Amino acid sequence: MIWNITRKELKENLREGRFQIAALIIFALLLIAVLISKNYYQNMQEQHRQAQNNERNIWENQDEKNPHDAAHYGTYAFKPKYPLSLIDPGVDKFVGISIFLEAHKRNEAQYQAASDQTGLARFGDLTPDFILLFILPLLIILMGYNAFSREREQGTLALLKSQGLSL
Amino acid sequence: MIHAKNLSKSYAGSTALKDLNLLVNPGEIFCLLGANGAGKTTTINLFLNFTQATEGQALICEMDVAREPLKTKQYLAYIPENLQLYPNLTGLENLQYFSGLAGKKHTKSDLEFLLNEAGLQNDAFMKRIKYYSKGMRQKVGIAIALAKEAKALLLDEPTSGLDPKASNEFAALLKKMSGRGVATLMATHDLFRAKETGTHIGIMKEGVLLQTLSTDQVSYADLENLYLSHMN
Repeated sequence: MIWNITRKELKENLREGRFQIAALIIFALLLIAVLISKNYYQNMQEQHRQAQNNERNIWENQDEKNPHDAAHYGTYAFKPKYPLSLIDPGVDKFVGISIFLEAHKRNEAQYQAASDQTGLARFGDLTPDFILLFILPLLIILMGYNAFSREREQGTLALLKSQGLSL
Repeated sequence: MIHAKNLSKSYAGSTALKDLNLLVNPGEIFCLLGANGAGKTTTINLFLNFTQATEGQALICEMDVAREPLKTKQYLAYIPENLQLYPNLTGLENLQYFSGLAGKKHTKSDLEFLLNEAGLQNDAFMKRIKYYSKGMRQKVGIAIALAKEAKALLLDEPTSGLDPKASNEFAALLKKMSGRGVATLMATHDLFRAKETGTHIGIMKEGVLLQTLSTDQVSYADLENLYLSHMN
């Protein structure tokens, strides 16, 4: 019964212009978001690599000194970027991506991208996860909001009820 | 079998149906004639349990529709005046869906056979319903009834708006179903179709079944005179 209804709803929706247009828009947005994400990921990886190399050079080129002094001298650690961040960049923008490590102190992460942005940043960036979490549910609501009332409006409810279904 | 026992329905003080006693045996086609507001659709709706009777009982296969609404619907099929199906599905897919809802499992070739039986052309099976005429949709309705193996058929002005050819084909289908032992109750305005198709005719006015007669007993001209005399 459920499979029968699911199959019918799928067929009906896939053939409906409203669904086709909405799905096309979402697919195009998703494609653009993936391309933007990929570009951003590659840039960030390169920046990370350069920053890490620079920090390593600075650390290794210190003068000879007591290890405790060297610990006070400190260095930067960078949060690694994983391929999954292509889909979901996580909270890096808000919590920062680098921490200055030094002896006797617990520093907070620095360089939060969000702190340099306007209030509009809270609405999110065009990333694949934004499409999947916010736009796709809107499509589901768009397709499903009138599942029952549509039956009444198009006149199929009476025939459905006469099949011996409990509503 | 379709059976009404002292069936009455009132809406906020006005009587839509009063003490209807009616028996449609297997193989019979009972046509309810009457003007708009005579109580024909109310009678159909009571048998479908779409509305509750104020008094009396509506029985399908000896089961009270109010007490066993889901079970009685396993035995009945319904075709309204303007049968609406899913416009983006084909005739075959609509039939598959509705027969599936009724708990019947048919193969694709079975369903195609049923559509053929209902008089639908082969090339229409895979066309979407939105391209069907009213007559073609009514044929899918008959195929749904056939797929369901219904014992009782309720029709609410099914031929209104059909061209004479489609109406004639529809009447032939009803006779075919009647030959298989299906009890049919049809509300209609069409005296000619009632005389030609029905086995019995009931004339209703203001919620009362005034007269019941067998179609064998009366000519078309007499039926028309009788009907008009009741209406006047």
